[in-house]
Amino acid sequence: MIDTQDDVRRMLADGVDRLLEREYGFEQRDAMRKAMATGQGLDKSVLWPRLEELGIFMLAADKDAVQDPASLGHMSVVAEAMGRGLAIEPALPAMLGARLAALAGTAGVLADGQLAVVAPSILHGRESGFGAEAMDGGWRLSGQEDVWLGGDAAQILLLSARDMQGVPHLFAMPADQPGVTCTPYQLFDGRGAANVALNSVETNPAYLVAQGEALADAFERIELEASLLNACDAVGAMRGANALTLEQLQTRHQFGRPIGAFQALQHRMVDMSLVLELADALVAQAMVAACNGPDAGGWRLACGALVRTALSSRQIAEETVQMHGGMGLTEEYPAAHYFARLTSFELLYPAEEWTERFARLAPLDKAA
Amino acid sequence: MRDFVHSNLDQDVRRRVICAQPVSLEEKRVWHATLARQGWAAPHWPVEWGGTGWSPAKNYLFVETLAEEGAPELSPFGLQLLAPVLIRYGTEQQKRSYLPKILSGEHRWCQGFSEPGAGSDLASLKTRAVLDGDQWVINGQKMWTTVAHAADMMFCLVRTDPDAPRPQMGISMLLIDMKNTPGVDVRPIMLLNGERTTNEVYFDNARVPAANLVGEVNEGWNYTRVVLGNERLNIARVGLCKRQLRHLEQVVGRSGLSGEGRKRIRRHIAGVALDLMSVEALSLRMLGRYQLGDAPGFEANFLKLKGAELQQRLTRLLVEATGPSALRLGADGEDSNLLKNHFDTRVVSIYGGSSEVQRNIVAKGMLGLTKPASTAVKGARA
Ligand SMILES: Cc1cc2nc3c(=O)[nH]c(=O)nc-3n(C[C@H](O)[C@H](O)[C@H](O)COP(=O)(O)OP(=O)(O)OC[C@H]3O[C@@H](n4cnc5c(N)ncnc54)[C@H](O)[C@@H]3O)c2cc1C
Repeated sequence: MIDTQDDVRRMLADGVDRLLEREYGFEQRDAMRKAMATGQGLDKSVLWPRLEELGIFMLAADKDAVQDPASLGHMSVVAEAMGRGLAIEPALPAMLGARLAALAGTAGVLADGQLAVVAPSILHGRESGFGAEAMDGGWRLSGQEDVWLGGDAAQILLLSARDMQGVPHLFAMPADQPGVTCTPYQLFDGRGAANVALNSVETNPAYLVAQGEALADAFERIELEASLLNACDAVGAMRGANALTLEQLQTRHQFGRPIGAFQALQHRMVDMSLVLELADALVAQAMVAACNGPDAGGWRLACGALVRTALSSRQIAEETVQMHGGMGLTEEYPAAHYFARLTSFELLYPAEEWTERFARLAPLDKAA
Repeated sequence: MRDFVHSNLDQDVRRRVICAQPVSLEEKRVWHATLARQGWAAPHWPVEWGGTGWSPAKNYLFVETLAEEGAPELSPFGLQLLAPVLIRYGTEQQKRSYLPKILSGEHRWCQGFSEPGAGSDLASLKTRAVLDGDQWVINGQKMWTTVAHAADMMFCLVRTDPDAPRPQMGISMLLIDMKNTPGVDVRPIMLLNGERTTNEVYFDNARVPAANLVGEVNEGWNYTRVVLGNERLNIARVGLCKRQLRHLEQVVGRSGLSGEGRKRIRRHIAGVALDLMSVEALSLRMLGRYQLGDAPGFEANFLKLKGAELQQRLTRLLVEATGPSALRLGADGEDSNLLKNHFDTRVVSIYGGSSEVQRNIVAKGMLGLTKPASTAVKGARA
């Protein structure tokens, strides 16, 4: 049974990959970005229905997906395709939302195709910005967290809040609930995000998804998966950036020859290819390890993958712009967009922070 | 100088300059007029044209001090790049009609050098000018022409002798009225920062008076070297870096960073501050030699390289110190637009002679490392 399910999901992931690679050109994507920049919000009429149709939610969270180690691999195919294609649709946030609901054992709280976005504190393993107070027949929630990736398009906000006793609770809060202020905006890389503030929001008990220390496992797993899937997005973007830069070196002529004939640039292009392959290999390995859940070995590899991907992203982002010259800064050419996407990644997953985290992990032989 | 900035510059403009938030062309024009009234719009010019007669050291300090105090930078095209060429090679008529309006800020100038096929290899430019009676007829295309859309005039490099033995020898410099010349078409190039700062300019049989030639025909390349050499004393932008360092300290002080994050950023800030010391020392040494009559030499190439790097590190640290909100576009407020601002500084290692071109010049000119094929540096920007 698993095998056929696995096949279905692999086909879905490949479908997304093909969709982005062949049918959705840079101009079309960039029109979406510009439309959002004029304040119209994300245009969900173009790519989004196709992604839904292909089943990105199911990939993350159909009833076997959580048990099936391969499902993370399928999600990574989608994430990588989105990064390489510079797509701004919140496919990754949507997958993570569906995934967390499933990991918490309550996939049913989300209606079919409902876009749920996970609070940044959960995705980054930080203390929540929200607090919960029990009241008659429900909860009263207050607090704020900024920069929810995909939050601009969220229908449901998945957020955690501790009650007065310090017990964590996971809520699935409708974004249009009275008292919820969701301030949407665009990031420099074109993707949408939002700041979310709750001002004494009274919720009915149905919004409580799960509670108690058992949540910690789900949170740790979603943090691990989110980090690695964002790294996959970056790997995709690096692949796109390297292909573009290589083409530039072959086709742009100055001083009577292709600029790729200058050894100063050749060596740097070689280094760009090198750091991409290193990141890709380690992320893939970390992905496999993460399928077993977040054990110590998995986190070690994840730290390595994130540090490597952040460093590679920065190098490739900067070199891509530099070697394109003025073209590297323009809106109508993908180079600058890759810079923005990759820089966002490595700022959200800073190499130094993950290096320190790695250093804090117990040595492997003592863990277990 | 410091007091002058504090008491004459609009407080909100100054705040935005310091916080790396946008300042409009109009606001810059107002500041230009303020400086002009004080007699400080172009202190480095000769006194007879409205300069101050200050020593090079004082001019240097003036530029760095204004930047350090948060004054917006004036457009360099007329004041810094063209004027010294006109003063040296222009006709009396040209000086009288252009210099006063550059000084007052009444005329905005743009620089038409780069073309689609001529970037680093500037000498390969193709825009053609042919003398027809008492007019030059211009055909071709310029690219990356900053503020051409808002400019009154352009100083432009054109090819006047396509058969010259070396490409550098067939180039002339023309002055073009951007507002009243038929056949000049300015089209925007949008950068990812969402702003229209730069343009493509097309010439289709555009005619300019023969009197608009600067200096001699086919001598344009030599004047170009003057243009490109003109900003060299302040090329590392030490004052700007100091201001950014100061601002960074404040941002880190009030940021929501964890203790560890703050320590990490402070170490990076210290790293830039230390680097800046050596850059300033080299700038001052170059200035000292200049006072004794030496033209800025390879120090200027080093300082362009290192200065670009410092600019980029500083704007990036501001993003890191601010946190994820720095990725945000739009909203006024001091946290937004900072990644965009960092992106804007990527250009510093591309224009005015890219970092690669600077290295080529030093490799060949200073170190005498000959290239396997000999053309790579000759045509390059100084
Ligand atoms: C925002 C902006 C504003 C500008 N404003 C103006 C303006 O007002 N007026 C104007 O005239 N120009 C302007 N420019 C143009 C600028 O000077 C050019 O972009 C610059 O000269 C580089 O040329 P290019 O963009 O064609 O890049 P290319 O010359 O194509 O260079 C591409 C890459 O190849 C490298 N390269 C080239 N040759 C060599 C070599 N021999 N060895 C090693 N590496 C090499 C370059 O360093 C670069 O990394 C502006 C550019 C920008 C982006």
